[in-house]
Amino acid sequence: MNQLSTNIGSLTLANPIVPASGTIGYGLELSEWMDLNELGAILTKSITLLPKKGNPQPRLFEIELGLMNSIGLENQGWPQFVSEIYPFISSLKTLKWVSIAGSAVSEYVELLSKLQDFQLDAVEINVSCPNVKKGGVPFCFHIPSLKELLKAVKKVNPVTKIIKISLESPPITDICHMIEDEGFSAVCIGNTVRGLVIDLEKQKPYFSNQIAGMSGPAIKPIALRAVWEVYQSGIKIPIIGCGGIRSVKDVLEFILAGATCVEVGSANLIDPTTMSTIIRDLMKYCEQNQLTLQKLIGLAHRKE
Amino acid sequence: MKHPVIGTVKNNRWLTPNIFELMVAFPDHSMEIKPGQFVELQCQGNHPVYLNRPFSPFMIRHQDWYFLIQNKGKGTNNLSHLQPGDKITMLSPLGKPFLPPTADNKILLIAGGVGLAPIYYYISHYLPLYPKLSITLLHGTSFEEDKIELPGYLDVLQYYFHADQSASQTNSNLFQYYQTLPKIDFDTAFVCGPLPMMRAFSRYFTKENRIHFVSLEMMMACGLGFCKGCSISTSDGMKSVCSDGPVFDGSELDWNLL
Ligand SMILES: Cc1cc2nc3c(=O)[nH]c(=O)nc-3n(C[C@H](O)[C@H](O)[C@H](O)COP(=O)(O)OP(=O)(O)OC[C@H]3O[C@@H](n4cnc5c(N)ncnc54)[C@H](O)[C@@H]3O)c2cc1C
Ligand SMILES: Cc1cc2nc3c(=O)[nH]c(=O)nc-3n(C[C@H](O)[C@H](O)[C@H](O)COP(=O)(O)O)c2cc1C
Ligand code: FES
Repeated sequence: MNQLSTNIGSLTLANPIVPASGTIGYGLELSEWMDLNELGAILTKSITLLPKKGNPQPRLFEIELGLMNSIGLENQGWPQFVSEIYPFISSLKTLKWVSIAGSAVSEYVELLSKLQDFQLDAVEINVSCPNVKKGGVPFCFHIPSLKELLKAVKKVNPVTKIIKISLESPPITDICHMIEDEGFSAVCIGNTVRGLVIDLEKQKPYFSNQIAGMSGPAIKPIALRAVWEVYQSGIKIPIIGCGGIRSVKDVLEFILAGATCVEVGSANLIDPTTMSTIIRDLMKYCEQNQLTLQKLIGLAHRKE
Repeated sequence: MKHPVIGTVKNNRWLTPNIFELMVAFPDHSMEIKPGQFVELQCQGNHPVYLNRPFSPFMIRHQDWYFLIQNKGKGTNNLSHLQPGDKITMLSPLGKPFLPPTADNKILLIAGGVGLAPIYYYISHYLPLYPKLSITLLHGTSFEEDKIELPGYLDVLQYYFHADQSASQTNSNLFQYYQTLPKIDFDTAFVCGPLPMMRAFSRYFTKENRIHFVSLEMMMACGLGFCKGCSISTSDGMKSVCSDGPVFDGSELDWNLL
C-alpha cells in the first residue's frame, strides 16, 4: 500500500490515474513518452469483434476548451487484439484493462467470452459511444436495452467488469444503481457529451454522422456534477471519474466529489506526458499534506 | 524517452503578405528530426487554441529551428504574433520521414506554397551529406508575391518557379506547368502541397511507374497516433496520417477517396 493506492473491486491500483479509452491507442506510441508502468492501469481503445473502418473524414473539430470527435470506433477487431494488442499490454507490469464495444448484445457476450483466455485485470464495457450509427442510440440511453445487456454480460467471464456510461444517461443515478444491483465492479462516468456543429459554407452538419462527442475541459463541470450526484445517491461500487481532466487539481476535485480513480482522455492528445506529471504532482500533494488518497474520496460531501 | 521541449522565439518576420518565418531556439533539443517528419507546436497567444498545430521544419541551424508558416486561422495567427523571448512548446520528432537518398540519386522535389518547408529541409539536410545528389526543385505558389526566396543551395539546384496568378488555392496548375518543362530525369520524386496538386502529380507518376512520395496534410488532434482522428483509407487498410505518414507512397493511395 502506498499513499496513492486505490481499489476497484478486488484490484489495487498503485495510483488512481488511468488513460481514458481511445485517447492513447493501445499504448504503444505513448510508451515513447512515458513509462506506462507508472499508470494505475493501462486501458486500450475499445475493441470490437470485427474490424471497423470508423467514420469518414472529417472526424475532428476543435472547440473553445476541447474537441469534438467522430472517430466511430475505428479498430482492427479481434485479430489485432490477439496478434498485437495483447502481446504488448501483457509485457507491462501495471494492471491491464481492455475496453470493448459492440452493436449488439451478442457481440459483447462473444468478446467477453473470448477474452477469458487472456490474463486481464479488468474489462471496461463501453455502452456509451455516441459515434456509431448501427444500433442507433448507445445502450445506456435506453434503460431496457441496457438492462438486457447487463444481464447478458454479467455471467460471462469472471474478470472485474466496469460499465462506462454516458454523462447524459437518463437519469444517471438510476442507471448506476442498476449497474451496482447487477453485480458489476465499478462504473465509469463517463463518455463524451453529444454535440453538433453546422458547417456554414455547406449549410449542413459538419460531421457525416451529424452528432459527435465532445470532450476536454469544456465537459469537466458536467462530469464532476455527474460523479457528485451518483456518489451522493449512496452508491457502494467505486466510481471512475472521466471528463476534462488535465491537472492534479482536476483529479483532486473528482476524488473529493466521490471518484475512486479517474481516467485522463483528451489531455493526452495535447501533452503525452500529462498523466506522468499528474502522478508526480499527486504524490507531492499527498506527501506535503501527509494524507492518503483514500481519505479524500467523497470528502467534499461531508456535512458540517 | 521523448519529452515536450520548450523553445525561445528568436525572430519572427513576414516573408510574404501571408507567410511568416518563425525562428525558435530549442537549447535542450538533442533529438534529430528527419526531412518529412513534423512537430506539434502549442499556439498560446491572445486567442489560445486547445489543440496543438502540426508544422514541418523549414531549416535547422544548430539550435535554431525555422518554420515557414502560412497565416490561416487562430492558431497560426497566434504564432505570427510571437515576439523574441516568448516561449513555445514543441513535440518532436513525429511521423515517418521521406525515404533517405543514396549518394548519387537524382531527386525531383515538388512544393506547392508552404509545402516548401519539408522540401527545402530535405535539400538542406541531405545535400551536405550527399554532395553528389542531383536535385531538381519545382516550386509553385498562387501569386508571384507568395514566392519565397530560398535561403541557400540555389547554385546547386535545378530550380523552377511558377505562380498560378490565381487564388484558386488548388495549385494543380503547377502540374500543367511541369508538363511544359523539358523532360526531367529522376529516380524518386517527393511532393508536398495542396491536395489537388499532389493528386495531379501522383496520378501521373503512378501511370508512368515513377517512384514518388507525397506528404499528406490532415486535421490532427494528437499527431502522435493516439486518437485515429487523422485516418485515411488506403489500399493497405486504414492508416493514420500522423503516425503511418505523413509521407506515403503515392501509388498506394486512393486519390478518389482523399
Ligand atoms: C504534417 C503537417 C505539416 C504541416 N506543415 C506546415 C508548415 O510547415 N507550414 C504551414 O504553414 N502549415 C503546415 N501545416 C498545416 C498547418 O498545420 C495548418 O494550416 C494549421 O494547423 C492551421 O491552424 P489555424 O489555427 O491557423 O487554422 P484553423 O482556423 O484552425 O483552420 C484552418 C485550416 O487548417 C486546418 N487545421 C486546423 N487545425 C489543424 C490541425 N490541428 N491539424 C491539421 N490541420 C488543421 C483546418 O482543417 C482548416 O482547413 C502542416 C500540416 C500537417 C498535417
Ligand atoms: C479521439 C477520442 C476517441 C475516443 N474513443 C473512445 C473509445 O474507443 N471508447 C470509449 O469508451 N471512449 C472513447 N472516447 C471517450 C474518452 O474515453 C473519454 O470518455 C472522453 O473523451 C471524456 O474524457 P476527456 O474529457 O478527458 O477526454 C474517446 C475520446 C476521444 C477524444
Ligand atoms: S492525429 Fe491523433 S492519431 Fe493522428
